[in-house]
Amino acid sequence: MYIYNDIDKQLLHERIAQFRDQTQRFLKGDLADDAFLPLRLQNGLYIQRHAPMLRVAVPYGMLSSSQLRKLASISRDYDKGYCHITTRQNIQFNWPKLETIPELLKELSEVEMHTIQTSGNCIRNVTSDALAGVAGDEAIDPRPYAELVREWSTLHPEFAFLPRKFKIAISGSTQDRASIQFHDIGLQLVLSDKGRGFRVFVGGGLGRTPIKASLLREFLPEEDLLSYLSAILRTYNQLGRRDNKYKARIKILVRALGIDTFTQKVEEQWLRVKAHYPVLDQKTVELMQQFFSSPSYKKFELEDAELTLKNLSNNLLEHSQRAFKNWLMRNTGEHKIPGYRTVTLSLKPTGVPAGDVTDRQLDVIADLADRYSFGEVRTTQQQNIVLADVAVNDLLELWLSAKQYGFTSANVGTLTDITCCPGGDFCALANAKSIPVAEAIQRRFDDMDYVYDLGDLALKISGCMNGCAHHSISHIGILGVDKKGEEFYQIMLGGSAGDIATASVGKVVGPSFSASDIPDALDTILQVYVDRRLENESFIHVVNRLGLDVFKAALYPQKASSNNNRKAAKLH
Amino acid sequence: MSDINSTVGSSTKFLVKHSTVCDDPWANTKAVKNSRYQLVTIDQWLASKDYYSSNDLVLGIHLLGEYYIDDIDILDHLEVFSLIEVEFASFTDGRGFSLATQLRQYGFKGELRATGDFLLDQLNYLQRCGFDAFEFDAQADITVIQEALAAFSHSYQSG
Repeated sequence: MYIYNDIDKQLLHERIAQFRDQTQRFLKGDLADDAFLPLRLQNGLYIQRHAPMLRVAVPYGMLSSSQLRKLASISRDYDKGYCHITTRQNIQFNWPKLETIPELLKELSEVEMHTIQTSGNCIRNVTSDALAGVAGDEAIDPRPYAELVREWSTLHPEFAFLPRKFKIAISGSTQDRASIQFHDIGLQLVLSDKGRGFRVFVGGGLGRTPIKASLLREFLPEEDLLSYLSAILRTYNQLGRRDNKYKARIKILVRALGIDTFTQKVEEQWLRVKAHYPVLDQKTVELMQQFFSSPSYKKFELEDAELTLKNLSNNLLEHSQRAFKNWLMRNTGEHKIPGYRTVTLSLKPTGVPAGDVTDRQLDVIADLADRYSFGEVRTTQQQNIVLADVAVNDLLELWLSAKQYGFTSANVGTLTDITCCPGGDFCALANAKSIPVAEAIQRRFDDMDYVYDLGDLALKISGCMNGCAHHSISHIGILGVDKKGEEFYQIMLGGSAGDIATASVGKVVGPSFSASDIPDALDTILQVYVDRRLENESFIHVVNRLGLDVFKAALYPQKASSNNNRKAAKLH
Repeated sequence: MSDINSTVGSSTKFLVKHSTVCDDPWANTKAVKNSRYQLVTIDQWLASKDYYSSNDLVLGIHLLGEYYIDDIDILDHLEVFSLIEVEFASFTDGRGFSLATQLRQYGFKGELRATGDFLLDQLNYLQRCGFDAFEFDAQADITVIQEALAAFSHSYQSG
């Protein structure tokens, strides 16, 4: 994991001093509301429905046990004893008091954490693959590059007042667990005959205009990463729209110019910029890679490891054996090192808002990380926590400990592993509540055998079209809308992000539903899937194969029959 | 484009260059007859390049932060100007930051001055984009300005 040097520490210290001064000037009335607004946003501070919300950066999702313990103590001392994991791998506090925030920031800095650029019209915290460094399908570990981009983008003087927010994601695997094609810039690390480099995507995004990114460059040599990013950002900073905030993201600029013209502008800019940026030399990259070297794994023979895994639960009672095996199946995953597995601690037990975690739980996660996973964890886009390096012979012990604290809901990657934004209960932007809808779905689909039978399924719920839960790239997406002051919910089907080639934005199935009708509607959709699937065919595959019509017909029978009547009438 | 000499240098403003208060030789170009110091708009410059390029003048040019460098024809003439003034229409409009960075990258060595609507809290970034002079309203406090200019002692960006 990256460890701060003296310069990192000094900069953080100076940033806190700057923000302390800004907060004091604001509270004294010396700094106007509209001037304080972008300054506080660039320090992660929103003014929300009930209280300020402070977003803490978790660079590419990595957290150490000491950072977890600090987050726990801050939750206790400055908040109401819990915090929230976001869909961009960050942490949010929902109830801090404005005047205590400079002190809170000082505490965060003690564990090398901050809130810099977690909000506002600037380059946001860089996200990456929660399984970086351990995934079997990884070509190159993206974290050293993510850290280099973090440093390059942090306190960047030229790009702090962009037309709109700007998000960069980096992945180094075949499976895209960072949704890079739905970011302003998506970087896919590749190894070619020209060496290490990036496929560069641009202009993807979610929100009210979900767009899959365009390919900007098939291969960018590693050494040119920062100068090329600068060229893209400069082109956007100067040409992006500033007259309408809904048209200000880079995706709109790319669409308006067309990808060819946009590419030409960036390439021209790059040729000019290049000479003024140092190349990212081999030595710099290697120095950074050392921070992310593998931990000291124990040696296991593959066969022994498999045998251990098979026999782990032999001494458990039958029903515990079953629960453990379900957990192994859903909440643990393959690891590149024989004898190790990745373990997802579920933060989605029924009745708890997705991603919420208490101070006590944070302390426990820190202990589990120290005991079983080299003292580190990762936050995920799905709002869970991953212990990335667990030896197979520790799995049972880990499961037994984690169970006591509610982390072992064996639903990872299933229907009830719902990704959900804070919604109308907390967020000032929301049109509708999202947390109660998620809970109603979890309660309705509580038969785990049925849920397992449905297999891999992504269900995401956003309380407004800003789409923080990423509903538009979910197999089933639910979007809260406001109709004359009442909350309704649109359903989308067929979104996906995990595969670079087939990633797509979901489509709305039809008129929206009331909150109370959502579980029934979902039941109808799932029934169509169960009836129509071929052997081992996944939900998303069925949707792609059959299209939306069969789902529409089942969801809106009256409409379908009146359409048929009209068609029949025409024929006569 | 309006004639800007009439507003520049009014007594309600003061200039800070290289972190110290200093006189603005372009301030009274209207009042002083035959002053060598001239501040022109881009239109004035384009209309009478030859006249303004004459050696007798110490030339400044006024740009708006929103200008896209490819649309203004001055890159080949940067050495003619002793001053480039970039006016910010709004502190949230960051285009002037890119304009300034590019002017420096393309070799402008003279005074690069920020005017208009920018915040004290942006001074350090503006300075790092290449601005070395800033125009303030009379009530601004020089100690506060100096502190803001020095807000950060290091930076991650070498380019």
